[in-house]
Amino acid sequence: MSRIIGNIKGSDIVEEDDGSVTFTAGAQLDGDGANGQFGEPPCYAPASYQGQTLDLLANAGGPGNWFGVVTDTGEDNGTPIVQGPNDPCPGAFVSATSLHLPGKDGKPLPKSSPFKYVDSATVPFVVVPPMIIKGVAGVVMGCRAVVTNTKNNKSVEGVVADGGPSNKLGEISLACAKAIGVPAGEGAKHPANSGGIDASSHVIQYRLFPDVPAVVNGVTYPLQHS
Amino acid sequence: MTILSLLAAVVGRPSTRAIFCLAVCGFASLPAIAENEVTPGIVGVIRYHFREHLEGVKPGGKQYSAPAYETEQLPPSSAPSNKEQVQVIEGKVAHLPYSFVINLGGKGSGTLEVKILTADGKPLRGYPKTVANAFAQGTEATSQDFEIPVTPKLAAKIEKDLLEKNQHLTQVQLVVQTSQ
Repeated sequence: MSRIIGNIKGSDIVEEDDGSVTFTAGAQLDGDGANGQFGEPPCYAPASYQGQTLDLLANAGGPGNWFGVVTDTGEDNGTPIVQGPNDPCPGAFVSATSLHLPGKDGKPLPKSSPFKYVDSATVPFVVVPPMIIKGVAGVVMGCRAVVTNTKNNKSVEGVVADGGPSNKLGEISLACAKAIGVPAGEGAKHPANSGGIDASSHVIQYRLFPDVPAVVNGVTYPLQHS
Repeated sequence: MTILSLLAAVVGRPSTRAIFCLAVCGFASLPAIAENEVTPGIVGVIRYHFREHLEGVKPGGKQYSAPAYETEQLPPSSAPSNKEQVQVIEGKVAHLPYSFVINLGGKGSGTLEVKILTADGKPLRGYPKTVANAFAQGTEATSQDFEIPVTPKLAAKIEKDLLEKNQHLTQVQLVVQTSQ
């Protein structure tokens, strides 16, 4: 029998009979994890960076309070790690997702590696609040997700790859937004800082499959215990 | 004779049927022509962007949430009398001590002007701002975004009054979109 895990701002989060988790919400945009892994712009870079960035640097914080980029100490008062000459976007910061990817040899990558994180610009992914991660027995981070825009019936297979705030439901990567026809900041200087669909609109359906590793564009994602 | 029977009699005659059809088609097309000449309505939304410090994250894990935002909406736009080419939003939101005057078309067709005034009536630093062809057809732009500077004191007040525990304001933004 299905059960309601919880409710965030009017949206029930339901664990269905088959173990999947469903909810409807809007779709804010998350550019985190984009480090140019597949040729698209990075999420964040210093002001001196010449190329485009997906998000406004202010959304990563600032000196002493780096909320959105990887730092040398791993703490928010550390120094942001800058991509080197052999990285995808030399000079850009390294932006992280909650889901960590292994190297080609299957071993963990260092936190400074741009490839450790899931690229928002090219991988359809979903952001979930702690209520979902803690509310089901199965592993959510890295699991399969299906996202559907009920306004145009466009649907995409994705992966749960990032953690959101405790009181927010409905956030997706830029690639996911483009795939289902959600405004993805087209024409904006910082696409991830624009676009999206208001949280109260309830037009985006989300279905997550805890314990089922996501397979997106031929890549199988690791399930990650939180 | 009722209106319906009169209508039936008029339309029933072949000689008047064509005139009737032309008249109906002409009336039906009038609103479409008029709408095309009117500047579309606009909406203004304030986005309060933040990140949340996540509790219970394992060492080496991502300590902060993905970015997200809360919103507050400005009043709907209206067209000043006898100025159908212009749409204006005037108003305030609960968590900013500013007044907004957003004008589309007043400084030329398609030109968007944003004025933000502080409590003492002075323009906020960096404003007014003007964008030509803000929502021109054929461009990708579906909205226009404007950063709103906030002092550390104001940021702290917004965090206290609007955001939840462990949530940190990262920026405040005005988003102007057409309402169609």
